[in-house]
Amino acid sequence: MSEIVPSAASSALDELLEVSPQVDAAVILRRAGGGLLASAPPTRDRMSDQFGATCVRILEAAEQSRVELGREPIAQVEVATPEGHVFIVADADHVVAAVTDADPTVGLVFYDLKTALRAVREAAAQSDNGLVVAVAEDDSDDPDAAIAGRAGAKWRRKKS
Amino acid sequence: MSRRRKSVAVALLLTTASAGAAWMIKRRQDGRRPHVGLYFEDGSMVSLPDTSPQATQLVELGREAVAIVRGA
Repeated sequence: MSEIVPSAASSALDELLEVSPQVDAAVILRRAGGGLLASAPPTRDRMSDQFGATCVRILEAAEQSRVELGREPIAQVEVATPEGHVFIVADADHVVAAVTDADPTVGLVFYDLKTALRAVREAAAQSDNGLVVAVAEDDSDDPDAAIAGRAGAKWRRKKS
Repeated sequence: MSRRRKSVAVALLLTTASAGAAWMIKRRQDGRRPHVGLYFEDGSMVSLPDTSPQATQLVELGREAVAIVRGA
């Protein structure tokens, strides 16, 4: 997979923390498998993994409630506790989750999370449409090296 | 304005102010109470009753998530 999506996810979270001071920490995950794409603040990797795993469990529990209620797929979840709120926004492929202080502006936080999710979705669509392929320059005598792309490989975006 | 009318006006004002303050305090306390909101793709939203087992489970997970972030 190209680096476009994780890079876009990382930028989206940087922007999220910049524009939304109520957000203490946020992660972007893959919906399938819950793999961590990006987290912010960036220096807390262990926290991000644990927070991401807990958010997956929240989404699973919310999904179970949805099934019991017989409703449409879930797009957003807000869990409010006296210590802070957890916000989750999801589409079919990605999940954006954040923790805020105990008195957040709910609509504003959801709006900012949806903006981050849209940025990741657009990057994923761009990545799917323009498959990145490694093209080995034919300037080496070693055919294996050329095939492996070790001889001055260039990255080129394939036109869709 | 007669003295009697003045007293009534002051009493009304005090009553209204007290009711407003009580409403604001209650609203703030409600906002701080644990609750869960599920928003669906069709734009509808369900607030799970805080006594329901689903909400209890989700609030517990929410507390866990907040503790992870705060503890880091």
